[in-house]
Amino acid sequence: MDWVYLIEVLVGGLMSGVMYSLVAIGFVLIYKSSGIFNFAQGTMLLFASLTFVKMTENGIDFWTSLFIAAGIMVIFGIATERYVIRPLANQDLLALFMATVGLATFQEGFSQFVWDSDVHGLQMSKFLDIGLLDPAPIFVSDHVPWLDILIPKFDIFASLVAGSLIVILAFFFQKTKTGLSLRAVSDDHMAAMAVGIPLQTVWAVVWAVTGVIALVAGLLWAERVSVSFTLIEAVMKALPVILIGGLTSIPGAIVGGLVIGVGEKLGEIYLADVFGGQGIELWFAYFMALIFLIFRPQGMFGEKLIERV
Amino acid sequence: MSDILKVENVTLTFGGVKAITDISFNVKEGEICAVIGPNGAGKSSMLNVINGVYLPQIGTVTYDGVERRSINPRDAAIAGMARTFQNIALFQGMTVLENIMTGRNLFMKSSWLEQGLNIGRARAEEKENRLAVEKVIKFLQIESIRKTPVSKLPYGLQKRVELGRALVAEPKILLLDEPMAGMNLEEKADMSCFILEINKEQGITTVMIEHDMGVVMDISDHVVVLDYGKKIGDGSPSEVMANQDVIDAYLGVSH
Repeated sequence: MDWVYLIEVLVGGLMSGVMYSLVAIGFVLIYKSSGIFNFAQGTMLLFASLTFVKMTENGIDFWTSLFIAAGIMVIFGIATERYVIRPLANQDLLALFMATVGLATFQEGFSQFVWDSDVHGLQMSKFLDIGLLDPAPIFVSDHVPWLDILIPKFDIFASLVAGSLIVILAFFFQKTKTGLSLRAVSDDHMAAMAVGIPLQTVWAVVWAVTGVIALVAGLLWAERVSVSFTLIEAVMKALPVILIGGLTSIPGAIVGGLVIGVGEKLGEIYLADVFGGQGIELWFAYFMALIFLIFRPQGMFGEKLIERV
Repeated sequence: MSDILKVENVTLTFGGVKAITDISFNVKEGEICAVIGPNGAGKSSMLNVINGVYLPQIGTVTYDGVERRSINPRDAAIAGMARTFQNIALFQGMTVLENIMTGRNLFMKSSWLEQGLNIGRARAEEKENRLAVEKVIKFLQIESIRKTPVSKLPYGLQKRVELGRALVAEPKILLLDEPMAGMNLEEKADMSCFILEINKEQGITTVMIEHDMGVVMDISDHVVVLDYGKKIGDGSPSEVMANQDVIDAYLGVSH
């Protein structure tokens, strides 16, 4: 067995895993606070990165664009809470879910209306001049040949950004009052209000944070798949991640992402022949989720529903 | 003692169903007021009107000198109302400690940055909140289950944790919705002691819905009786016991 290759595959898998985790956390946050699956996650990614790209194309510099795009996503999040979620509070969850479907449709049209529907290339290396795109050996050693691993620098950069954002988020939602409030809100809206937790503020924070996550995730993904409607499909890769990790768990989203990332790379390389050739990376993640669901329907860290009869 | 809570001419309807019809009563500061009545009498609805879960069509609730037609539950909490629910409304995903900690959320004033990094005001605040929580845990004798997820606890203990979460908010008035439902005799005795002690030692006014007449007569200063959404009795326990309408409502009338 070629160990160098295996390690390269593993590291590569972990890195794309971190990116899946980031998208999955967006889903988990909304699910935890509002009890719904946010159908608009993909379009949020698209809208965020499109906003950024259009600004840079119009000659605004990298950091200003990033800042403004983040600001727009925050405003968008707050507006979503005020005009979409709040009027539906205490309504049937299906109504809320349908509202996110509507939100997705609106956002897709809105993106095309304000910006356009062209395919935009995004090359962050243009802005961040650190030679991001050429694959470079990270460890080179003459004496220990098995450490001579080749990994694209952008992957390192992307997973570092995604990783640190995840750490900050985990910290924010574990250590602060907002985090405790979020967990309370996800369990019982009425009880949360009765102890004085501002439901609306928690929702607004969650939607705003999700918007910023969408921007970062969108940009990192867009570097690989370009800024276009294919981004929405990239988000669907987060579905098996949350199925494996559990919809209600941030650590689950992280571990689930890593499992999927590594799993699909290993599958592609070592199982492709068994399943009839290359390209199983496209569906292997869903297959893994399916197998996982048979044994643990609530996901790795998800809450098991027990109902008294 | 002055009235801390005045319910005046409250009527609450759900579509065509009248849950509460023109009910008025006062709660004096520092008393234990029991609201009793057969199932469907409108007791829980009454409590839900008081802390703003329901908005009455007619009538006002005057609390702490402020007359309101409606209040939202969060503002009620800020104004010093804490409550428990008939069907336990604990945060099932959290431990006992975390659940009670949420009751302190109005005392957490430091910014999220301070809390995240555990610096500045957050440090002192955290300490203070933990102390308050531990005091309540000790009072309710639930030290040994501090770290247990509430979903794993038996019903009686969950009710106790819910009382703890309300208590730790240092309320002016406690609204308890059937604090003893589904408990055995021993648990009921414990719960009665806690409620009495909270009332006598800390002077917290308590409005309580309860079915167990023995308990109600033992610990309350004031009893309000509802039947089919109307008030049929209001007075001291002995007055209410002697009230013919109340006896009829509970024992039935021969026609």
